[in-house]
Amino acid sequence: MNGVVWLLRLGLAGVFVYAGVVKLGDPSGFAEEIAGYRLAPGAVGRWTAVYLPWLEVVIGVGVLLPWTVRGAAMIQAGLMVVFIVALSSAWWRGLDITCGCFGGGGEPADYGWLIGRDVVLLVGAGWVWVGTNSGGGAEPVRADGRMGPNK
Amino acid sequence: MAWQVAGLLLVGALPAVATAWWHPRSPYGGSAAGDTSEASALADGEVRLATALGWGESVLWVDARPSAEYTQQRIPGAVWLSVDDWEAGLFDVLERVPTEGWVVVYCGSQRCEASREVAERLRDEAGLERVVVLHGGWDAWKAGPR
Repeated sequence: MNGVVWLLRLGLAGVFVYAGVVKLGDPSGFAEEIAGYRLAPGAVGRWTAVYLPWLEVVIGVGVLLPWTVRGAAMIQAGLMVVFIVALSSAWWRGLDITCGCFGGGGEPADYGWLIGRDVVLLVGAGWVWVGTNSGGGAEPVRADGRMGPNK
Repeated sequence: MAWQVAGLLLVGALPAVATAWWHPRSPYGGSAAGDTSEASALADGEVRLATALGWGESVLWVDARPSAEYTQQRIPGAVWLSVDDWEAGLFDVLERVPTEGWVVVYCGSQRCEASREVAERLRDEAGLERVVVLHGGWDAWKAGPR
């Protein structure tokens, strides 16, 4: 069980850090891709474009650290829900957009595949969240092996 | 757990503020956004902002960005036209095409494709001949002519 959770944490870390880093270079382009979804007003889209890439990097690293793993997994799961809703909504409205998931440009969104991928990530993050609950090992035990809250 | 979430959200927010402020391609109008687009080479069918401004009144600006962005801010006098909602804007464009001037289409930046798509359809389907794309798009407009 712990082995699986560790693999999932590594996988999620890789996906999120990569997704964040590739978007850091062009916040303006990412803002446009967000605007393509036609879900949020421009101001929200612009803030998302500068914030989301950093958040992805932070929670990508955070899911590997014993004292932030559960919080990171929860944010990851929350983001996946948001992404799935956004993609489904764009699909429903028949928008021809690029995903924006891993940086700029790219092919027009293949909604089924993208939503499926996000569902897999959602399940993975949920699994990590459950698997690191007390007894799962990560949070209650500090890196030095002693019990107690991590500060 | 809640403090973990709050802490992570906050740690992400700090560099985001720095990005909004200093990133050359910040959507809040980065300092070098215009530099990069203006310095790069012109592609076929593109025009630089300074050139288009030189055409003065004989230009019809066509905004190919998402309608929300158009509504919020646009080049003065620009008409909105999107490939996703072609019929909605086409009439306005055709009605206002200058007889002796140019139609200049722009989208958000040099990277977006919308302006090129709109320009192509204006040529192919609406039969307009004097249609060009603004090099650097809205970013170039915000940065101003150089």
